[in-house]
Amino acid sequence: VTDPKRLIDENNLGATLLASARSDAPWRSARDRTAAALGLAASTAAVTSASATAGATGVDGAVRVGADVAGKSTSTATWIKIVGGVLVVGALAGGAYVATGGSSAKHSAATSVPAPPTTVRAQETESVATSGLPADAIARRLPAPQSGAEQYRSKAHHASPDPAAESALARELRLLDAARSALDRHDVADALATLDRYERAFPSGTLRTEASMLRVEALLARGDGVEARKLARDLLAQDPLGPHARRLRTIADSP
Amino acid sequence: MTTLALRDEAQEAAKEAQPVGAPKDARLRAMLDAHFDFIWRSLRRLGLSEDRADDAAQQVFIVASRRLDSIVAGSEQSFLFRTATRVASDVRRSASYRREFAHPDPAADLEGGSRPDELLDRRRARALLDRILDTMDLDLRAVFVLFEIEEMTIAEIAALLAIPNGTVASRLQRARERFHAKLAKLRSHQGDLP
Repeated sequence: VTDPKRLIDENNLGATLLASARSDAPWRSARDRTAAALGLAASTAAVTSASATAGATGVDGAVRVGADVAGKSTSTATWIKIVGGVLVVGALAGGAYVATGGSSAKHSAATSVPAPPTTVRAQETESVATSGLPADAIARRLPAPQSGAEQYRSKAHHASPDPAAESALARELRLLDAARSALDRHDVADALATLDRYERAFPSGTLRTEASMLRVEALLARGDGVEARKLARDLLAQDPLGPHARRLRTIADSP
Repeated sequence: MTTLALRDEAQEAAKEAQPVGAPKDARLRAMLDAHFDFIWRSLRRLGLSEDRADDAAQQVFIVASRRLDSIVAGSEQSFLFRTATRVASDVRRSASYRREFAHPDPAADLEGGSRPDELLDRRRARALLDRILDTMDLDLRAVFVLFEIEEMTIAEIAALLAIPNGTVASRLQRARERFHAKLAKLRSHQGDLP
C-alpha cells in the first residue's frame, strides 16, 4: 500500500484545520501527576536547580521549569505553525495579510505537587485566541505564503533572521522563542533578559501576553514565587477572562 | 467515566503501584517518558478536552501498570494507544461528556455572520476540526489522525493497531471522504472560501 499525500501538506482550509491540532501538547505537570499516581519518581530530567532555590526560599515548594519534551517540541515550531496557519488562511481569504496572530505555545513551568496525585490541577493548557490579542495585530502584513502547511513546519527550523526583511511579528516570535529556549535549558537569567529586550522593543507587541506568561514561568523557575504570583494577579486583573486566566489563577492562588 | 472516578482509580492504583519492583518501575518509567505525550495528543485527537485528556492519559498508564507483565516488549506504544482508544471511547460515552461537548453540526459554527478571517483563530480552527472529527467513527478517526496529523505511515499505523495495511488504507479513505464532505459543507456556508 502506497501512502497517499497527506492532506496537511496541501494549501487549503482542510490543511489549516488539521494544522491547528499540531500545537496540542500536554503540560509537564500532567506527566508528573501520572508518574506520581504510578508511584514513580518525577523524571530526573525535569528537576532543575530551581527546585533547590525554591526549597531554600520556601516559595512554591519545588517549582520547576520542565525540560519538557512537549515544551521543546512546541516552542519554536508552535509559534511558527500558528503564523503559518494564519498565512494559509490569509491566502484563502484572498490576501497575504494576517488578521491576527496567535499562539498556543505551551508554558512548561510546572508546579510540582508532591501531595496526593491527580488532586491538584496545577496547569492548564492555554491557547491564545484572536480576542486575546491587541487591535494592532489586525491586518499586520506578513510575507505571502509559499507552500502551505509544509512551509511553517520547516520554517521554524530554518529561520535565518534577516532584520531588514523580517516582519515585526517574526521578530517578536524570534525573541520569545529565544526566551523559551533559555527556559528550556534552565538559563533563567537569559530568559528574563530576553523578555526585557522584548518588552523594550515591543511594548504593545502582538505577543505580549505570551511574553508575560513566559515571565511568570521564569520567575517561578527562579524560585521567585512572590513576584510570579504578583504578576499573575496583575495579568488576571487586566484580563480576567483571557486565555491564560485559569493558569494564572492557579499560580495567583498558590500558597 | 467521570473525572472523579478516574481520580479515585488513580489513587487506588497509586496504592497498588507501591510494591512494583525496580525493573517494572524502570519499564513503566520508560514507557511514560517515551509515550506520554503521544498518548495525550492521541486522546485529544480522539475527541477529549485538554482536562479530560490529562485524566484519561493517567488512566491509560494505570491500565498499563496493571498489565505490565502481559505487554510484549516492543509493543508498548501499540498497547497504550489501543488502551487510549478504549478510554477515550468510555469518556466520550459518558453522560457528562456528552453534555459538555454536544456539537451537532460543525457548519453551525460558521453560521450567524462568521467571516473567513475568523478561522484565523487557532482555537476556532481546532474546535472546527474536533467537530468534524466527531462525526467519524472512532476507528476511522484514529487512522485519520495518526496519518494526517501524527504523520505516521500506513505501515506504522497497521502495526500500532495490529490490523492489516489494507484495512488502514480503507479506513483512511473513508475518513477522508467524511472529512472532505464536512469541509464542503463548511464551504457551502462560506461562499468566499475556496
